[in-house]
Order: sequence, then C-alpha cells, then structure tokens
Amino acid sequence: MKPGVSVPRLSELLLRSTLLARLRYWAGRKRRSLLKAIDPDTPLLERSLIRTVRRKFPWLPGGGDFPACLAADAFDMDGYFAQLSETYRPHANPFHYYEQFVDVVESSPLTAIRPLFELFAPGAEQRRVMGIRHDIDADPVTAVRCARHLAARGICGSFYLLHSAPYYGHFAHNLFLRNPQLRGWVMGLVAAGCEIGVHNDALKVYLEWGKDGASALETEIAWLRMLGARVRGTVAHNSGPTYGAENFEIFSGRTLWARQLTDRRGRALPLDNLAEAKLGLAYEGTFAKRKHRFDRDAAERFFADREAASVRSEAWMRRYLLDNPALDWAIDYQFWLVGKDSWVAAGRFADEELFEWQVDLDRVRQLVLRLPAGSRTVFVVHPEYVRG
Amino acid sequence: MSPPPFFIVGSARSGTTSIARILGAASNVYLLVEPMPNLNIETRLMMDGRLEDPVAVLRGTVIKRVETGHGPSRIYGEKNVTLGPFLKYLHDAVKCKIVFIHRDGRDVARSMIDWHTQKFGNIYRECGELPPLARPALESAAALPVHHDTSDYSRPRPPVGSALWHDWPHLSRFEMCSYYWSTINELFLDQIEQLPRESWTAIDYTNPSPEELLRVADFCGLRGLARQEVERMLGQRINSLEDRGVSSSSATLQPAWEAWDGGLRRNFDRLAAATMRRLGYYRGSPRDWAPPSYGKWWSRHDAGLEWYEWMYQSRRRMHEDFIAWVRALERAGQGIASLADFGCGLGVGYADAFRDRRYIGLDLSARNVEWCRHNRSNPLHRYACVDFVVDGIGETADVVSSSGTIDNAYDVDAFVQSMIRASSGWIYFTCYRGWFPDLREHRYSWDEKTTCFYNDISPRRIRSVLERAGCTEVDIRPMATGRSDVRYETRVIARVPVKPAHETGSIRAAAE
Repeated sequence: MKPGVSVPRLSELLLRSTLLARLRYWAGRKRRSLLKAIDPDTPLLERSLIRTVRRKFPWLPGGGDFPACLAADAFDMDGYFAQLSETYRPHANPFHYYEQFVDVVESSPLTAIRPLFELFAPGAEQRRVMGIRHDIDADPVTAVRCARHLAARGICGSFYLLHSAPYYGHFAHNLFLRNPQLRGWVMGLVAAGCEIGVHNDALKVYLEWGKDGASALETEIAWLRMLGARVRGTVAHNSGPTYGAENFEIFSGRTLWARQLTDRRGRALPLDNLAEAKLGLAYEGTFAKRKHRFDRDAAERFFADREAASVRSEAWMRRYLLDNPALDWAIDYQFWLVGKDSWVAAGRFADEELFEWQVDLDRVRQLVLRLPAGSRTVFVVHPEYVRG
Repeated sequence: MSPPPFFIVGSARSGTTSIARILGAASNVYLLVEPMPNLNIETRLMMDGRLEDPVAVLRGTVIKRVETGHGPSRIYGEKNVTLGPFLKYLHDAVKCKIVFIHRDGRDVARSMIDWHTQKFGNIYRECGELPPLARPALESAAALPVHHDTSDYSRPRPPVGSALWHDWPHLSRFEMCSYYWSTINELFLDQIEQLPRESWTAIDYTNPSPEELLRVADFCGLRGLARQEVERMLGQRINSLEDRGVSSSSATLQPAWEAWDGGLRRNFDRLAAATMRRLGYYRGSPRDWAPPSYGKWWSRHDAGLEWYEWMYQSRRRMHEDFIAWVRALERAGQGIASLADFGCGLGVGYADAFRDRRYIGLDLSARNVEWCRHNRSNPLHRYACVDFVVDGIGETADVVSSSGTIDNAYDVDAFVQSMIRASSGWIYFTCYRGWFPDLREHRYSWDEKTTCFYNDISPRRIRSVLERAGCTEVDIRPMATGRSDVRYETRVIARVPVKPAHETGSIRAAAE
C-alpha cells in the first residue's frame, strides 16, 4: 500500500475498479441457486440474502445514498414477445425492409460503413462514412437477426443492449435479475461479429428504481465483457426531457450544465460521475456534445417539456435533431427509422441543412446518394421496427 | 525456357497450406502462402457478379507479384484459396500452371467445424447456431469485428433469390460448410476445365502420398525435393489444429464422417453429393457411405459354426419369434413359399426351420457362403455372397428377413429399401443393439478394428422410410429379450407394396 493512501480511499479505488464489478458479478452468481429455489419476489428472503452477502462481503458498496447493485441470472418473462408484437404492429416493417435498407446503404458508391467505434477513425476522408446504430429497446431477437444479416454482408453494425428493458432484467430489491435468455442473445451478437455496447439508461435506474444507476451500468459492461463482448461505447437511451437530463450526463465531462437532479426521495443524482476512460469506453454513441452557443434558459425549457418529447412529433424531432438548444452533434447526419417505411432525416454539413420528416426508403436512397464526401452519418434503427 | 509460375488452389481445409509448405521446400521455388492483398473481398464480389474489372484487380495484385517473384532461376508459386473465379483470367495473363487440390468434402466440413469451434469462431458468422466455442475461438471471434473479417466475407453465399438463399438463415453451420465445399470446388472445376489440359493438375489430399506430391512437384518444374523429406512433412499434419497449437479433447470436436448420424449424412448429401460424384468420392450408391475397409473383418476371420450357434442361442427368443411369425402367416392362409435372409451367417436355425421351402441366404462373407454351400445341401436353398444393400438378390421372396445385421450396415435406410425391393410380401428385421425410441436419426458408430458400423436405429426414421416406400401394416416395437445386457431389441415388420408383375414371380417359377 502506498503511504498516504487511506483505507477509505483504497476502498473507493477498489469500488471503481473492474475487479469490483467481477466480484459483484461473482457474488450475484453465488446467490443464483438460492434465488432459483425461492420466489425472487419474496421480500423477506430477499432481504435475508442481501444481509448474507453484506456480511460476507462487507466492502461491497451498500451504504450512502444508493444501494449498490448485485446481479444474478434468474428470470422469466411470459408473454413479453406477444405483447411486443401487439405494441409494435402499427409501426413494424417486415424484416425484408431491413434487408432493403442495408442494400440502400451498401450500394451507394464511395461509402464506408463502419461500426460506431470507428466512425471517426481516419482513412475515409473522400468517402461518406456511415454507421448503423441499433438501439435494442425492446426486441433482442430481431436485433440478433439484423446482426446476422449484416454478418453475411460483411457489415459491422453497432448494437446497444438496453439494461433497463424488460427483456434484459429487472430488480428484485437490490438484486438485479438478468433474463436467462439474455446470454444467448449476447452470444449471438458476439458470434455475428457486430459491435456490442450498452444502451445507457442509468438515470432510469436512479429515478424509477431508486438504485445506483452508475453501478448498474458498470456491472452490465463488465458482464458483457465477461461473455466476450468488446464493449467500447455506450449510447444514451431516451432524451433529455425524459429524465431532465441526458443519460450520458452521468459520465465525467459530459454534463450539459450544472444542476441538481433528485430522485423521488430527494437524493441527488451523481451526474458527471463516471469516468468513461476508466470503464474502457472510447465514445458515447449519440455523438451529442454541449451546444457551442449554449442557451441555458432554452435548454432548461426544452428539457422540462416532457410532454412534447416524441419521435412521432415532427416539431419535436426537428427541435431535437436540428435545433436542439442544448446539444450539437459531432456527426453530420442522422436518419431515424420511426415507423412503417417512415424515416426522419436531419443534419448539417458545411452550411447545408437537412430535415425531412416521414420519408420513405426511396427518398432515403436519394438522400444517401447526395450526402457529401467526408460526411459522417448514423442510421438509427430500433429492431422492433423491423420485426415483422 | 524456365517453367511458368504456378498457383495452388482449392477449398479451405483441403491441405493447400500443407502442399504449399512442402513444395516450398524445393530449391528453385519462390512460394508465397496467401500473400496480401489476398483478394478476399474481390473473390466474393466476383462470385456475386459485382466485380467489374477482374483483370485490373489481378494486374494490381497477383500479376504484380508474379512479375516481381518469377525469374529464370526461380519459379514463382502462390497458394491462395480465393483465386477460384479468377483462374481463367490469371492463366490468360501469365500462362501459369494450376495445382488444384481437393479433399473428401466430409473431411473438409468436419475440419471447418473444428476450425470454427476450437480456433477462430468465424466461419459463416451469420449462422444462427451457437455451439460452445473454446476460449481461443470465442476470443478470436470477439476480437475480430465482421467488417475486418475478410476471410469469412470471402466465402460464397447462395445467389439472391435462389431457393437456398431463402433457407440460408436457417441452415446449420455444418450445412453452410458443406455448401462452401461444394460451391468452391464446383467453381474450381468449372474454371480449370476451361484451361488447356497441360496447364493444370489435380491432387486428392484425402490420403496424400509422397509419390503424388513428387508428381505435382515435377509438374511444376520444381527440383530438390526428396521423397523422405516429403514423407516427413506429410507426417507433420501441417496447418492442422495441433499444428496451430490447439489441443482439444475429442469430445469437443466434430465427429469424423463415419460417426455422423443419418441427419448429417442427408444434409451433407443434399448440398454436396453432386460435387462428391464429380470429384470421384461418390460412385452414386449407398456404398458411398462405406469406408474402404468395410466388411473386411468378416472375410478375414473365421468365426466358425460354434460361434454362430452361440449367437443364435444368445438371441434365441428373437429367432423363435420370427419363425413363429412366419408360421402364423401361414396359418392365416398366406403361403410363404420363399424367404430371403440378409446376413445369414452360416444359416444356423433357419436352414432347418425353413427346410421345406425356398430359402436364400445372403452374406457379405464369401467364407460363410462357401461353408453353407458345402454343408447345407438342401436343393431348395441357395446361398450367395453379395452386398445385398446395393447389389440386390436377383429375385424376390415372399418374406425378406434380417436378424441383427442392419445394426452393422453402412446405410440403414438403404438397407431397408433394399429389403423392400427384394420382397414380394413382407419384410421382417430385428436390431440387436436395443430399442431407441427417442432417436430422431440413426446413430452410426464406426469401428475400424471390426470394420463395421454399430448403429442405434431410430424407430421414427425407419417408419418414415417404410411409409415413404408405400409399406403398410408397419409394426415397429420393442421386443423383450429376456437378457440383462440388452433388455429390448427393435423388431420391424411391414407389408411391402405390390410390385408390377415383371418384378415378381421369378422365385415361384424357380421353385415350381
């Protein structure tokens, strides 16, 4: 031990290390058999389990404002996919639509399709650099299907698993229970050679579940890596108005403006807290950055208007993607698939501005062909929109 | 004039690296193994019909290498598995020689699966099958994003819109590998057949010999290769998993084709049988699934009458059941004038039980048949040494039976079909290895020592074969043996469909 390093400091360092995540994971696994044998919703036994783990691993984070997260694989989700079908029926395209979309992107000349972790890598200055971002909000099965389709074409898409989604897991008190099928989907993505990342929803973990969102994020990154995934980046889920902050604001240096956000019990959220580099993260895949000419009042108003925030609102999407009072984008263009043969295209390159609402794939094709060389574009696909 | 440059081509896992290393030991060669750029992307584009100017691609890569590496004192050689679609252009440009190396597709498919699960984890990455990968394979796959995985990209996929293209996402990796082997070899064959005959040679690397290697070296104009050295290098199993530092327990490896179940066999044949025939690995009969040594044990070993009598006694209940069944048919008014017995051995039991009627004993063992001819003198009986699965018996019998022989057959379905063909009434057979109601496919297991298979028969599959052949009154059931080692055997009875007149009656005519 270095002189001058206190025990609490050492403990803090430990807590921040990946070792901790592994230990947490291990602790969670040790409890798996117990959990399988009992109803995970039984509070008494649950509390007893937590106490046991606390006794055995007193150095695990648990005090403070938020209880730490432990994880175990024990889950079941009856009817989830039936409900998913029902919910997305009005908006979903057949899978063939995804294949056609890939054709559109792949067949345009002078194009380099890259995973998001390489979007800004040098070597394609004369090309249109494109990334296909898959936010797996709801449908991991279709996500794996997308990854396999891309694999056959030699295209590396980027796939972000939403750790707060029902398909992923849920909290039973302080224990995060992962869906047992999740491992298979992750392995399917690893085998297909795509990029795997986390769809960061740390703020939901804090605000809606009352748990340590940062710890949850760390734990899931470590778990995915343990399965073989090379997690290089995250993509923030939802948008600022949903929680009053962007999910990426939990990362150090990414806070848009200084403010205090609290959960329902009045506990302050630790924004600007997690160091991406220490977590081995190289980028944040919304590619959002604090607006150059930041207007705090306008930003606060925009973030406070939760009612208006909807991908089905042209006005809001324009505001979010093009005239965002808080954010600029490091990428030039974004194409969002938002429904049945329906895209939103937005962006700026040099002084040219683009915003088109509810355009079909043919129009996307035309727009792609017009993208300037040297531009960077991200296509945002939620797999549930191509699950038909 | 110095010999022309040469290219070693063939499907992956066929031995191209091995032969390249061996030929590379010659004194007058400059041989490169998969030099970069290796045309991984271009070969796929070419196969998909998306490469506009293949000659330009060759000029900027391969031809440039030939110009640099080939000279009066050394022959340029290159091994690349991606040159398939370019061979004609390449030959036109540099008048090269081609060494086409091929290997039994079943061995290649197996090897590719092992390559995937044990070492690289990247063969047909779109495949929905997720076998447990060895740690090196998992790490290798995870570290190689698919857009940098030009090796996997280079493999052919079915043409868009083809029937197989629609099925492709649902194929197993084994099927994809079978498709790969077939497609790539067809491509090479189509290409080299366009070249002058003297400019290419082929070598079968299934069981390569030093002489074959030296023949190829001579074809390429190479000097300085000694037979002993070639033999030593062949023994090293170059570029095998072991050679690449992977030690795997056999439990995690894909079984050799002799141990494939019926489903794997069918799937392989569905995708690759035509190429197997084109390359001479198949001759178009069920015997294609028989290893070369199949049945040798029976011709080499004289078990003797005592052993066959012991065999009969040990399964006495099954034999008695058959004899009783024949008697019951007769009592029911069905005349059983003739019986054929597939795998008769020395005719123990049946020669006596059926002494009053035509009995045709068939066996693979010439020794057994000879013995029967000398020691069984019933004029109504005939013994023949035939492979009844493929050769037929030249006549039909009212009942065709087999007792515990199908368990050792090289093709169970073909065995049953052959029984149906030979019968004008019924077939009856028993499987001595047991009753396996849960098997979806026949499970084959090859034993090189006794040169036969040991098969666990799938009742479901047998029923499907019988019903597809039009058999009726199919009865497949477990039969209690009264023994403790195998409590139940499988018994199969079926009435065969009525045959056209010209296919029946010969036996009756002969008997009358």
